[in-house]
Order: sequence, then C-alpha cells, then structure tokens
Amino acid sequence: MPKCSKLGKEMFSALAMNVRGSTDVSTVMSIGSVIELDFDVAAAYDEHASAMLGFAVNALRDRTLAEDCVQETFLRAWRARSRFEPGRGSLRTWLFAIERNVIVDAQRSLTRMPMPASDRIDDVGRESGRVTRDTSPDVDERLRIIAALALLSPEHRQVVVAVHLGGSSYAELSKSTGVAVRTLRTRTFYALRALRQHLDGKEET
Amino acid sequence: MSAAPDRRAELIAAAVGDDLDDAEAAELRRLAASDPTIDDEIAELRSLTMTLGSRGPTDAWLESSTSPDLRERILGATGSSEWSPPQQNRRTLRFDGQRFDGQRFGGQRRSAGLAVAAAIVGVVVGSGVVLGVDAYRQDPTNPPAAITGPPGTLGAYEQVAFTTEVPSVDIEGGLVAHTWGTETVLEMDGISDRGPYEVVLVDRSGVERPSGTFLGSDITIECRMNAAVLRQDVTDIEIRTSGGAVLARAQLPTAS
Repeated sequence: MPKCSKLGKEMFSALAMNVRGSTDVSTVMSIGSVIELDFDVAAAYDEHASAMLGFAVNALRDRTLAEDCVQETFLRAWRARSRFEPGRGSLRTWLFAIERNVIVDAQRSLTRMPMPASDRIDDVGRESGRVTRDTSPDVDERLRIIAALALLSPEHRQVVVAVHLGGSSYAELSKSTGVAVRTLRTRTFYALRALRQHLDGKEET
Repeated sequence: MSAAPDRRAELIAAAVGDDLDDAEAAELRRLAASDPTIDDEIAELRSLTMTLGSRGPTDAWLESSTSPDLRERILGATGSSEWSPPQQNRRTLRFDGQRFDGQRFGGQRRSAGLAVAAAIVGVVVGSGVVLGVDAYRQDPTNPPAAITGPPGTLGAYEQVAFTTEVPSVDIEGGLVAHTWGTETVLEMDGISDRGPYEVVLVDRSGVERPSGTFLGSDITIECRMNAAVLRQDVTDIEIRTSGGAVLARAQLPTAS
C-alpha cells in the first residue's frame, strides 16, 4: 500500500515530536509497527481553543458560527490525526491550518445564502444596516493576519489593536488602561515582533 | 544593562507609531548612529503596521473567551471523556438562511432505532442502498469515530454502497454530514482510464451539486470532496465520466 512508504517519515516525525515533549499528542506503537497519534483533544482544546475561537470570531463576526467552526476544526483534526506530521509543524499550526479551511468553507456558504442582519455581532447599522460579506481577493491575507493577531497574548494584542488598528495614541491608551506609556511602547515593540514571527512563519497560521 | 534593550524597544515602538517627541527623536538618532539595526527594525515594523492597517481586519477586534459548553461539545464529539450527546447541544446552520437551535435540531432527528431498522432494511433490499450507519471505518486515515447516529448526524461517518455496471471498478465510500455541507469520502480501484471524473450530489429537488473531480489511476484512488448541500437534502451520489455517463451511483436513505 502506498501508505507504507510514509511510515518511516511518520515514525521519525512522531519520535521527534516526543523528544520535544509535546503534551498534546503522543505516539503509540502497536503490533506491526503501525503508529497512531493519540490526539489528546482536551489538552489541545485547553491550550489552543481560545486563540482558535478568536480567529474564527474575528474572521466571521458571528459567535455562534465561530464556535461551530472551532468544533468542526477539532472534528476534522480528530478524524485526520493519523495524518498529522509533527516534523512539519506544531499541533497549533496544524489546527490553525484546518481552521482556516473551515472558515473559508463557512464564508463561502454564507455568501450563497441570505442572512438576517441581526445574526451579525456588530455590523448592523455601519453601512446602512446592510450586512457585508468579505468578497475581497485579499481574503486569504486578511485571514492570515487575523490568525496572527489571535495568536498574540491578550496584552500584546491589546496594544497592537489599539494603536495600530484603532489609531489610539499611547497617551490615550495609557489613560484608559492605567498602564504607563513607556510600558505600552515596550509592550508594543515585542507584540509587533511576535506578530511578525507569526506572519513570517506562514505555517504558524 | 537590562534597561538598554527596553529603552531601545520603547523608542523603536514610538518611532513606528510616530509618537516620539523631539528629545526622544534626538536620543533615537544617537542610538541609531551606533546601532544600524535600529533603522532596519523601524522600517520592518512600519511595513508590518502598514500591512496590518491596509490588509488586516476592518472591524474592531472582538475579544472572546471559550465556553464550557463548547469544550463539552468538542470532547463529546471526539469521543473524549465528559461525553454528552452532541446532537442535544449542537447547532447547525442551514444554507437556506435558517438557524436552528439545539432543541429544534434534535427534535427533527429520527430515533436511532428507526435508523438502524432502515439500515437493516437497506441491506436486505440489496445494492445501491446504505449498508450501515457509522460503521467504523477500516481505512487508517478514517479511524473509528466516536460519533454515531442516523444519516445526517453531524460528524458521523455514514457508509454508502455504490453500484456500477463496470465489473473492474470497485468503489467504497461514505458521507460525513457537516454544518456547511456534505463531505464525500471515496476509495476507488479499477478506474484506470484517465478521465477526468466528476462526483455529483443530487438533492431531493433534482438539483445537481458538484462535489469535485478526479483523474483515473492504476492505483487506489482515495479522495475527499465537499459539496454545499446539507446531507438531509441529498438523495443520490453519482460518479460520472467526462462525457456525462454515470460510472457509479449510490442512492441514499432519507436523513434527518
């Protein structure tokens, strides 16, 4: 079977993963040297679901649909867990890659259906009450950026979003948060570095 | 020693955000004179923030926290502990724009007993019908799923029997119902002619929903395809040649 040819690589990848001490996934070697990845869904959820939900909510602007996407992502990952190759990227990277496909599927289905404006979280009234759907050719890039933002820590995301997306000054942000300007600036520097890392390492998203 | 990197970071961030006062600008110039990486870093981060502004999210960022209910649903759906029947909590999004809550969705389901009975009848009747619902998959890429239920159960694998008049062709396959449509899983042997071939789902009103295409091969063909039609609306699957002839077909039971 063609799958046998992949076994060596999967074994190497799986063992390499164990060396790194992943807590999400472990390997189980059974008779016949078949390797199965024991996907610890609970651990993966606890570690990654918050960022995954942030990605989906901000990509779709619909909390209910976003939760469905996160659930669908874990289901797909669970079913495909034997194909996960840790040597090619982390579990988080893999989950986000699956989630991006799920989100794109959801967006495509949404563009083919009418939807009550009330189902959107906050867009109602911004454009004459019309619900907008993202049909930009840059959707993929936008999703990549949203995923990278979702992967930031809440503190890092707060400063990046406020200053570089919301247009706040550091003084204004300091006033609203009570955090010193110097601290906010320094935090922003490291937040932007982290964001750049997420974006540069394309598999990170 | 430890303050210097933070001061460097602070001034760079302020420069990127155009937030430097005159004294800070002069200080940054002095630092940059002895550290050429500063200007490079400012340029890189400015480029990043421009990308962020021009191609990033256009709406305000929504902070969200996960709910215990979502965790429970996912663990239940993947067969982990803390199981609760996913149908009772799951929501689905219909493509006709109607959203159902868990109660209504669950209320529309047939009982598992009826589904099992329907599957048994299907086996007795013969070819072209469902052999079993959510039979554990043999393919290692489709390990036994924890989700079970009648046809149409979200996330459950529904095995389907294909009929074909070509003796050399052997097709095993199934469906997975999703909130966004229907996934078709195929494992095919004996389709050596290059094709291409098309997989089409036919809904109850006779509308054909394309699910994807593939090329013939001398080795086993394994593929998954998606169609934007809900499982409960699908009545038939057809695999067609490029000329439109039906190579294989499967009739599906009614799904809830």
